[in-house]
Amino acid sequence: MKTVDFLREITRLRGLSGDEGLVSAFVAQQFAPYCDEVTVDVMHNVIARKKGPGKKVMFAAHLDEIGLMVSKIEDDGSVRMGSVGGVDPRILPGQRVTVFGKEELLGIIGAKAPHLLSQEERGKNYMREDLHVDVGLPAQRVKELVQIGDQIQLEHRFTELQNNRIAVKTCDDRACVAMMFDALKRLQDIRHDADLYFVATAQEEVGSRGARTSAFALEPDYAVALDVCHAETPGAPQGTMKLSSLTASMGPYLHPVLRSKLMDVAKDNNISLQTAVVPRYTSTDADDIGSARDGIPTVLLELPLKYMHTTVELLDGKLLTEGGRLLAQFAAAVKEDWEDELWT
Amino acid sequence: MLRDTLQTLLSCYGPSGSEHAVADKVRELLSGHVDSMKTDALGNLIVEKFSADENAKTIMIAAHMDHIGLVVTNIEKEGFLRVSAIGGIGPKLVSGRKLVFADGTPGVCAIEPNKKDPSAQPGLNDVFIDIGAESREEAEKLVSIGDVAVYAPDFTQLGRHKVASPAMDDRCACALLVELLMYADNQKHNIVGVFTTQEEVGLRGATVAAFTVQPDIGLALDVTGWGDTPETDLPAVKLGAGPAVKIMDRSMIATPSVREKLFEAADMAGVAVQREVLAYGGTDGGAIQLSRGGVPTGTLSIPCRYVHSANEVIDMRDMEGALKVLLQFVDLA
Repeated sequence: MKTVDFLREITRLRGLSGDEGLVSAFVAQQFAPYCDEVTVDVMHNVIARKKGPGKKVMFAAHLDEIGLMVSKIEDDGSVRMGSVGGVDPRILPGQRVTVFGKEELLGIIGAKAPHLLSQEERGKNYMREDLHVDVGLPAQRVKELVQIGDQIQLEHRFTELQNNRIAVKTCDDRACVAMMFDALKRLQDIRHDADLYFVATAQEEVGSRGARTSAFALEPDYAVALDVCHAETPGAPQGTMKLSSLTASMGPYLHPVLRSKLMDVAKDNNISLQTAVVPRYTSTDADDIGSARDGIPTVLLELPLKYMHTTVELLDGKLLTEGGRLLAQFAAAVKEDWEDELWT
Repeated sequence: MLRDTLQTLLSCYGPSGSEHAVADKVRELLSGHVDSMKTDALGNLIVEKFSADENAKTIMIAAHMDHIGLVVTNIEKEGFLRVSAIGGIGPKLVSGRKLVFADGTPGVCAIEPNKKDPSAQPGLNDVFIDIGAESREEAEKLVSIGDVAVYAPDFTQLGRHKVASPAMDDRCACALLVELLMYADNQKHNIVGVFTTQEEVGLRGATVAAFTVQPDIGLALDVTGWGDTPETDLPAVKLGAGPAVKIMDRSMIATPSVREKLFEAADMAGVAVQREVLAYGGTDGGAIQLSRGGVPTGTLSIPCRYVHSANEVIDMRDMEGALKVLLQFVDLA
């Protein structure tokens, strides 16, 4: 499967944090031909191992997604929504959604018509609490088919724009899972000493919970966390990144020497990397992996995208394969004697 | 009797970090009913009741012993005590309440008036405890900095089925766990009941206990919010409509397989249960689920009104239902 097609398929799948079974099964199936063993653990983390005699290296990108969950069914059959992870309420009115009840129900999130808004309401953004999903059915039927806790998925529309740009939901962080997929394919033809673990982690959006448990279980020597960061848009604050180049972050949660190794590998392979400064925690899997057990040297590679946590997360498609190339080359470059340099 | 056990446990002093009086009472109640009891370094009481089945799984069931309180930070020269929070407690909740320290010293809680801005919301630094002392010296004979005051025990029957008390969060769950360990008989799975400490300050007891126990399955017992009083409609949970099976809260998204097992147990026990999506709060389940390489974990909740107030209200029918669900749960294949 081509990497871009992998992204198209994986972004289609339902996998709210905590209930990622479907997307885990897809990743396990797609990774399997390219590695020695694949397991899905109790948290829905997918752990794909490509064996080597050397140091244990963990790559982690999360496969869960933010979304909505049924929190209450009103007497008129309107479905009220809870949030799993940080869904932006401003994008909800006008969305098409699927409610995964006893049957899959297409629904829409409406909004009060502008004519009906009070003067006070006109100046305000919608809150999720003000909105509901309308599936069109009578209340009794809704109550038969839908239960509190059922998942509500936002619409999947894979939009290929000019200039390799792709806009679709859940590029955060399945685009990085796609980068791992690309790296695995490349590693079929590249020699590596390191014992490689490509982990598609669960529950990142609710606090890197899958990364925490998988890092404990694997106890790697080094780790590379992969996530998305904010690309420049008009009016964005300083510190956002250029869209078309991967980002190697630096900051107290990230290992400086391991980061310089990643930079060296990028340079040797003519892959451009920009630097983001993260002065505190990174709010990615890197934080929980880095502090697992007695500490794991960890770096963070980020893929810039625009419009994060919307259904049109936009990225430069060529970075999927560029990122795959960097990961594969880094995996091949890991040496036994790095250990001596890391803490000096 | 569940109600007697509950009342006994509600009478114990036990803010986060000083839960030993509760633990002692649990030991007393469970003496002769279980296979082992031990206390760990954080004060967790870990109680085992084994199954005879060689394929038994180990189910860790946690209920926290601690409750919220106010810690003395300063004693003023007039003898009034200044405080800081232990757990989620605020000025609105404590103002006008009767409090008690570990040795039984009573106090009452008040808020100083804001003369500059009478409409301002008070903070915890506007709160003080009056223990009747007339000077710092007199106060220091009764209380030291670092001592913790909790809501004074006050158990009240409300109507036919409901009861109100401080510390219902989470002594009602401790009572359930005690009764489960007493009455589980020849059950299919090993039960490791953990009466945890320091839940209210960040699931600390459960974090270390889960590491020690290394269970196959985790279950937390705790109170949840309510949606059945004026102007409160979420979570969509009512008192008296049965215990609630948690789907998610801020600390955990329940492992789908465990959640389904709870529904199955409820069904087999003939107990109506509710489905709970909570936008706030967390339970020991969040800590157990993330222990080591991950533990499949769920939470069974008792709907509770006015959580963290001095009048936490639950419905005894939900308690009876929860006990039946638990007895079934530890016996499921």
